[in-house]
Amino acid sequence: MNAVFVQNVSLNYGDQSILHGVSCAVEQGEFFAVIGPNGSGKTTLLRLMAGLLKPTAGTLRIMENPLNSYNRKDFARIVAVVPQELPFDLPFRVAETVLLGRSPHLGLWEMENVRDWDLAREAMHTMDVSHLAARSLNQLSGGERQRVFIARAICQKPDLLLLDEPTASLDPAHQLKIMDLMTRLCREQGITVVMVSHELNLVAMYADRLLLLNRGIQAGLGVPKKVLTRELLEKCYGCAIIVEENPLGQVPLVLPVPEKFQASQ
Amino acid sequence: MYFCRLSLILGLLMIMTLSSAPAQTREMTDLAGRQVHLPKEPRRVVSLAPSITELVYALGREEILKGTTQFSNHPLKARDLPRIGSYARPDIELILGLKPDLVLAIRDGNPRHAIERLEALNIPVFALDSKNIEEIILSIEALGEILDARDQASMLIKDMQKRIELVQQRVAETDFRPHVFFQADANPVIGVGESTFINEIINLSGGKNAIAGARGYPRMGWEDILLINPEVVIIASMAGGRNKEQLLQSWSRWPQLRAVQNDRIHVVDADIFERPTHRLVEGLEMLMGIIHPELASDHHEY
Amino acid sequence: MNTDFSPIYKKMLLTILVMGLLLILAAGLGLGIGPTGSMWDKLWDVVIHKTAAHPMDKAIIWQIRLPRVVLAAVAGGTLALAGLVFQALLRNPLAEPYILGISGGSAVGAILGMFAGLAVFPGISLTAFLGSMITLGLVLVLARGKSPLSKHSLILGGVMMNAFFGAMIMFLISLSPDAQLRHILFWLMGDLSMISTEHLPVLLAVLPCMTGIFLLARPMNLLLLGRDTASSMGVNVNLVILILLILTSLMVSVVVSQSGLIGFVGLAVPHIFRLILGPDHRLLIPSCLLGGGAYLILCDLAARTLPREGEMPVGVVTALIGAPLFIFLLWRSRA
Repeated sequence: MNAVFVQNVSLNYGDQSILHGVSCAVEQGEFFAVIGPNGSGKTTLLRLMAGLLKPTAGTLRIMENPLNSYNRKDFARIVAVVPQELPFDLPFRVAETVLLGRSPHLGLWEMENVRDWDLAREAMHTMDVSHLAARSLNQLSGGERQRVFIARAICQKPDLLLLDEPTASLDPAHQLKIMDLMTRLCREQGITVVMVSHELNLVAMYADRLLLLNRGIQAGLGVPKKVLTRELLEKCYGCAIIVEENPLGQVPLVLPVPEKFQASQ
Repeated sequence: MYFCRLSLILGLLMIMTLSSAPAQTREMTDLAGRQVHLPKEPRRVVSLAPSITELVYALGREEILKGTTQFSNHPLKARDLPRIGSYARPDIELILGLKPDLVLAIRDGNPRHAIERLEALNIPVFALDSKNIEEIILSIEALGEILDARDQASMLIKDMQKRIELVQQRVAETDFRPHVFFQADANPVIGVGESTFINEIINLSGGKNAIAGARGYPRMGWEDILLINPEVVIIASMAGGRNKEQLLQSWSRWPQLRAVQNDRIHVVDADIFERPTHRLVEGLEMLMGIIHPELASDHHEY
Repeated sequence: MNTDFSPIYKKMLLTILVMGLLLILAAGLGLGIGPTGSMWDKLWDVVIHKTAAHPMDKAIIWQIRLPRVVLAAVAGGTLALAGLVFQALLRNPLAEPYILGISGGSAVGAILGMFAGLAVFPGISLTAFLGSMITLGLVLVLARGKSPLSKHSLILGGVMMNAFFGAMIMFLISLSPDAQLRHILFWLMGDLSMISTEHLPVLLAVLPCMTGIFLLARPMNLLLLGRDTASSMGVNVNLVILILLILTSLMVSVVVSQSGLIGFVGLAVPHIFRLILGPDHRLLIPSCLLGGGAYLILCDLAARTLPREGEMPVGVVTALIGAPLFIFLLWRSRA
């Protein structure tokens, strides 16, 4: 079953075309990454998948059902979103924030029960923020806050997890941790992960497949080895790129080349 | 037979004494045209204006006056009366706390809302009107009737009328009517137009209101005043919170004004002119002395 | 704060109980004390035994103090709740009930009503109410467009409205005859004395609004996470914002039409309770409702009894008490 099915999706903003004719299918349990230069429409595609935007043309299916056939609440039980910009002035504490992730599973006036609290604790543990549980969000560093919001999403127990640059403000250790965690979610719990990222080498090492967007158009779709080629990357990103084989495994290693090194190229 | 008649008379006497039990009321029309049921012998009266308080004292009935508004400073004894808020904002609870059986108000002066609330609580409110001397006299008459002080009221009224007549006689001796500007407030300068009792007094005292075309209490800019160029200027004391020197100074800046050149700028006691009471007659005499110094034989320097 | 399981409904119940008791206590104080002095013994007689030494005492308690205490409770609760809602909707800690221009609109409506010589009730109350409703409509129209009901467009619209109406108010004041000025001034400063017992039922209109807002407590929690996140968690963001806006503006308009513009309650009270109870709106809503009411009753009590002659505007007291209290709590929470 395809977790996400995107067929010929276009989105126009006024007379500006943000996405045009994008098609891809993400299998259940797949670790899928969307890459591309700034302004290529990655976030827009993610928001389309999250049901936050409506396409101008094309079809979107989540778990084999048309996206617009879901009601909001049911959709929230299946899909969790971690946006790129997180509010920083929240009055909440970490534990409260993570617990909020249970809301889609609770009726309007249903209160959280013991199981909900256990799930929240579990999620905090997974994201390594348990020691921050009683702290206020605005006392945390950017990276810590990032982990808290991912914990919230995990606590939601979704089938599909959509993340917009989740490793952006994390140190390498925590970056790896997130990626390991995503992998475990995919393999052990069958959760589908779709991630927008700029970290080409990270996604090369972890993602099953990549979608490369350039100015709203699909430029490449497939395993990292197939998409992360020098020609494709230089064309999309518009800068000098070297692609080598990553010493850690059979995946590409992408090296953008600064000007001062280009003479020796 | 004799016994029957006696018991009949006794019975009648009993009925009469029982019916003359407390809370006898009567109906009167107040000066706002409303029918008011007030007690025949009010024992606890609250006044909602300093002018009303003055009149009650003048009628010698201050012992039934139990409370009044702020700034009730005349006569001096009135300063000891309990306050029930201000003229513009009487405090209903304080009024009730004095347990009045009659409240005296000024029509279009006290807020209508307060009067309605008092009446909704079954406290009779009698409104006096005071836009001109005739209405002041009617008010004094009505007060005399209400407070059982008819003799004092008619004495007061007769005195007022006599003095007014005297002034009118004197003033009739000359045709000269200088233009008078009365400044009621400073910052901004507020003048006095038609339909005020000050206007009436100016006319009675042999002057002509320099801004006769205006109504009420208009704001005046110095431009307008320069254009009008009054012959006599009368300033209410403490206008705009300033003292006498400051008030005079703001006029002496304009040597183009003939009132400044002829030194005919006078500061007078505001309370006498701005309160609709019997003391207005004093004000009338004062004004005549200022406007027609040649007529008054023993005018005072103010 | 422990992260063990602690049932939220227990906390809610406790909050409601404690706050409710506070409100009743404040109401008792408000009924028993006034410019004519404290009347504890008479209060007992009047309320419990339904007798009174003097009909005036009965009138003082039932006709003067009671409507005032009820209005203070309703106004305080409404304004505090409205401040809470706007702070959540606009994700801005400086938001308060008048931020969307309701104050300006209702003030203009009230002043025009005064100029027309209308009675306080229903005349001026009605014009004030209409003024604020028209303002709400204008703000909603202005907030349409590319990102409908976004906090930016709402705040901008509100600021514009307040600026425009502020200018209109100054203009109207400059035109007004001296006699009206006092009335206008007291209305602008907040005046709890205009209410009488017959008009109290008008305040019932705020009850459905408060209930509706209470029901939306969890969506309000989620809204704080941001529109996208809230939407992805099942909240119909635009609908919730619209409903909250309308309900809140409605109840604030009802209250303002009776009491004028009382300030500082909507800003300080939600923060105070947030510092004490945390950010969960399921706790904050009942505490702001009940606590805000108690707060305003006590402020009004001070405004009535402290000055030797006359009374202070209640807005002065709410600011003088609220600001230092808020600063103290803030200081303690940082330490």
